Amino acid sequence: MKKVRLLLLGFGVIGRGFAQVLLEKSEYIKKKHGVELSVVGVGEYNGCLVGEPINLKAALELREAGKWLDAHSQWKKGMTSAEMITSVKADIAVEVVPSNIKTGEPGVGLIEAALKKGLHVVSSDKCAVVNKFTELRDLASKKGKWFLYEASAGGGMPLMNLARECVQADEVKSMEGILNGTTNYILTKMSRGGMDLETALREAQELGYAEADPTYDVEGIDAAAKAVILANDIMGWKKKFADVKITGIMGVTKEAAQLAKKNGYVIKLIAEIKDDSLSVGPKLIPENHPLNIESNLNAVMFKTDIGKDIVIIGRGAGGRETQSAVFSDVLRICKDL
Amino acid sequence: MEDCKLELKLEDKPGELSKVLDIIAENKGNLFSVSHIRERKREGYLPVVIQFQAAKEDFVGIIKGLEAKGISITEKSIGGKEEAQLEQEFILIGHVIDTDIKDTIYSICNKDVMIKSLDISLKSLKDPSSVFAEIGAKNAKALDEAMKKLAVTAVKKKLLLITGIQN
Repeated sequence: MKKVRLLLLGFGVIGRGFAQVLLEKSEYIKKKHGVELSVVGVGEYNGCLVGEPINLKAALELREAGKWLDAHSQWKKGMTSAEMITSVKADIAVEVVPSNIKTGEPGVGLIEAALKKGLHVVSSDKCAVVNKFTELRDLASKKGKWFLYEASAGGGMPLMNLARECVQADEVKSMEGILNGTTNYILTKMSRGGMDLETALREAQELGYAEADPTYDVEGIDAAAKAVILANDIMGWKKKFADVKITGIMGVTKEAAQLAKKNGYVIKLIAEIKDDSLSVGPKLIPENHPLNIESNLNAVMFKTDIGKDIVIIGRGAGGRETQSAVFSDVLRICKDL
Repeated sequence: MEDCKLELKLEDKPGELSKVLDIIAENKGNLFSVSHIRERKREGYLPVVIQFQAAKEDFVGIIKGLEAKGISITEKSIGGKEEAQLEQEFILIGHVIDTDIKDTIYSICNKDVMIKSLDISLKSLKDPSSVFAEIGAKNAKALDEAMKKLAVTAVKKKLLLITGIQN
């Protein structure tokens, strides 16, 4: 049995989701992949858990009880994640912190530290990946390490892995799709339920689909960051966030959604990756189009030269759903260890 | 005799197709096939593709006959030469009426581009209005130029333009 040691950088929604899925699926992973995954460090902003292995069940129970990790027996008060990366022997760093969209920190610094230490890195942190895409990829390449980030764009949907592993001879000519579940929920409610935008947004917040400050979602910023990652990874472009032409959904009225419906269309926030350009904005989609998906689902249509249209539909966010992508990356790396 | 093809938008009710077939027969057209595209049915209208053989002058007669009956022709070809009518739908949101809707429409219309339909929704006089429009163009270049002009006009008039996804 191959034993692989992991550092979990972040214990928020995604970090806890990782711990939960690992507890549930460790036996299945051992049986299917012949790998025993063991978390030997968990980084948080005011300290770290260190031990071989970490008692993840106890950590989850503390957080479910509304307590901080400082009550955990393996807590190292004041130890920074960077110090943990340097001092704890591990194979893969799983970076799942929420970083700043403008700077990419603290994720960028943590990924750099892990790669420099000789760890492979898996990240779900779109802000880090989009800010320093080329630099981080180059650093990983220089160090001969894997740097995978499937969960950073499209949550649980296999997009980059699909392009890398499944369409080997195809050239992806363009991609278009729905990369933000919050806006899809809002626009679905405006079209089907006849709601105005403010009411639909409030409902999305009550259901936990939208943040208290939904700016990144409704202004198209979240979708734009993901589009950059997909374009750079799958198309091999070198785009920056500033290269995306972005229009949010705040100007879309209930009347417009209803007019579209009356004429056989729906309005969706669509990211288009085509002809060396990137855009995010509301678009008219025919009702029978594969991208007309409802609720908070995401969908991406690849247009390739051989397989033609390939559509992936899935959960673009969620602490648990995102783990499908995180674990795929971790287990891909394990094959090479 | 030439191979002819028509795509029509017919109301989905009994008797509509027979009106078309009568016109083709009256103009000495020899019918090959009729296909209903049910998955593209919208607002009670159904695209129907009809293939037949007819002489050039009779094809003109058939077109005239259909137009006289108010039947919408979305695509027509004779001898394999497409005379396609390209379509593009869009929505404009904002003070579309107050910013001179006539000027907005005229800014994109010319001999090759025309507005085929316009649907306006207005919550109240002071609120932004929403307009759904369909334009038809004789060729892709004319359509592309019209949409580019419309995008410029929308920015100038502070209107939100929502177009279809590119194919």
